[in-house]
Amino acid sequence: MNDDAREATLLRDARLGDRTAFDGIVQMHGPQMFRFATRMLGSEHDARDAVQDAFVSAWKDLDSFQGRAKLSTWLLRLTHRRAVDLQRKRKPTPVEDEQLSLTLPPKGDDPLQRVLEDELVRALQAALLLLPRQQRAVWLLREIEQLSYDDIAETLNLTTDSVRGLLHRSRSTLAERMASWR
Amino acid sequence: MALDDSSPLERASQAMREQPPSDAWVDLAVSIREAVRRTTRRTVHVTAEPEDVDGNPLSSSIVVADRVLRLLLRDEINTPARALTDAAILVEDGAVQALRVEIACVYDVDMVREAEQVRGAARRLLTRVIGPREVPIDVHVVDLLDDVSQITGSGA
Repeated sequence: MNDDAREATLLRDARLGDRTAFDGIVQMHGPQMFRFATRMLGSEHDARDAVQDAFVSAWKDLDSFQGRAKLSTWLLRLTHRRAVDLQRKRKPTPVEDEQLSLTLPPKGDDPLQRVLEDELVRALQAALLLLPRQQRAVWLLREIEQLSYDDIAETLNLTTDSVRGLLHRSRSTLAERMASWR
Repeated sequence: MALDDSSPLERASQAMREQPPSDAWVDLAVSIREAVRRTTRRTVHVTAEPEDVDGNPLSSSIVVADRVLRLLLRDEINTPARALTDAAILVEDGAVQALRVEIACVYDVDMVREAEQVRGAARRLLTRVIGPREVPIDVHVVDLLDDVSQITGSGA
């Protein structure tokens, strides 16, 4: 059975109240939601809360899912909402010097490929956390999760033109912040 | 990822995409399952007055959640050629007043025959669980599918 057919079957049974079928949906879409939330929030701990809340909410409101959007898009939207709620509840914290320094290449490091990749990812994560929230979400959904512009618009409740604009600005800002790694 | 002439942002994006999934997902999946088990959906309770095998009313009634009835209906109705997609159970004062069953079928079935079989299966199930009661049962064929696996959930 292909993934679409399997998802349709799991969704149908979960809507009837079958928790085991819902577990299947969790296994199918959870890793993507967790990855997205972790990158959005910069913390696995907070991401756990966001994803768990999103799934509990999905379970309670599964009847409201009409199937007009993709299931993955609907679940990412719930995850994004929870992530935004968590960020709002947090006290604003000043950006630490250490975090800013991650956007600079390590001085005198052994240029082993793996080390460089890890450092690059850390630097990108630090740069992402400095972006405005919507730009960060759009960039992650496009560049890491590789969603279409339409699906991003659906997920974040934006127009496709807004998605393009936010993506353009986020790419420019990130490229500037990462330029020192050239 | 090989070092190349691409921009640092492109290299970093690719490295981020290629990162392996976090080990923390395994524990989180367990927590989610437990949290969902603890979470109840809005539920309507049905008072059941079933009979014993000889048709005599049992001395005590039981209460059944509509979610349980839906899952029992699914098990009764689903075949390789059809599947329950929704069941609306109208309940007043704890008693089932009407049932609307929605099913999906494969293309080449006789829909009228399927609908009658579904109605019969649903009536038998209601009688077994909540006792003998004249309940109108509407059957709606809401989808026709050409892929049997979409109906049965198996790889058939």
